[in-house]
Amino acid sequence: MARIKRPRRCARPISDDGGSTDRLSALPDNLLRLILRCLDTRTALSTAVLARRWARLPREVPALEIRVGDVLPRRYHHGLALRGRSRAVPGNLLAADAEWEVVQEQECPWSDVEKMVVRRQVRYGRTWCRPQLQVVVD
Amino acid sequence: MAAADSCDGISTSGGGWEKTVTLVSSDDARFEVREAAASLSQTVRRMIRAGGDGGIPLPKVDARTLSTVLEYCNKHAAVPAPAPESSSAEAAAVDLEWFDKELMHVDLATLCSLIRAADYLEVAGLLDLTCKTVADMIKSKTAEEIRQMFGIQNDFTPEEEEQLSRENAGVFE
Repeated sequence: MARIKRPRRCARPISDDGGSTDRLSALPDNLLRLILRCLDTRTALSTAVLARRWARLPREVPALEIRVGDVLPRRYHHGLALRGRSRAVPGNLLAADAEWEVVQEQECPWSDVEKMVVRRQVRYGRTWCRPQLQVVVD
Repeated sequence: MAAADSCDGISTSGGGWEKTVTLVSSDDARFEVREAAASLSQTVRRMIRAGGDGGIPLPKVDARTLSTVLEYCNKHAAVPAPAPESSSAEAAAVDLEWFDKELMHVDLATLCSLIRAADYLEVAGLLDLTCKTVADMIKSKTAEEIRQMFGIQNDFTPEEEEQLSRENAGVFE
């Protein structure tokens, strides 16, 4: 019976190798995705800027929803909330596929640039958060 | 906190006899473990069913990592669940939570080894725990802080990086 000392605990769980070895990226894609699934949508999406491989990882966020607050700056929330209420969707849930396209066509107080940002973010989220993305209006 | 070291003599604990199995790490260290604890690993459970003598070989897990995995399994398989809503059930849950937290106070290399081992051994609870621990390390940090912490090389070209920051400007502000 081998008696082996367990690894020594360090005070804080941080890398002790000076960051020279990318052990996290040494993990296969399926395990990195498991880690991403533990993150909120906003953080999971933002890890795409770390490196090419992270940008390519599909974000299969299991919650199947994007909180508007996760992906859009605060100044967009008001417009979204108004639209959510006017549609009287139970629980303020907007089904991304159907409702968002309609929102784009409505007369809208946002500038073209703002509309573009919203559209791109929904597309961005939709690509990564399969299969059914829902947009939650806070 | 010496669960891993207390594998010896478990078979006679409580005066009763408990079935044990022997697990063999990649570096040939042998661990005698209660079958109930070892069975938290679906991989080991299948191998126990398949039978065989001389211990269960686990060629993808080294002794250091396996001892931590078994520490987790021993703790989580230790007590039969008491009646829910009883005060002892609550105390046991708090104790387990504290144990898990303590177990995760390891360096990143160990954590990554544990993720791989939990995946290979199919210990669902430990895989969840380790992934959540890494996720917590990522939360509320800037990209540069995350790269530094994990030693991730930024391999974007300056043009790609400019495009990324343009796309993310106003979105992740």
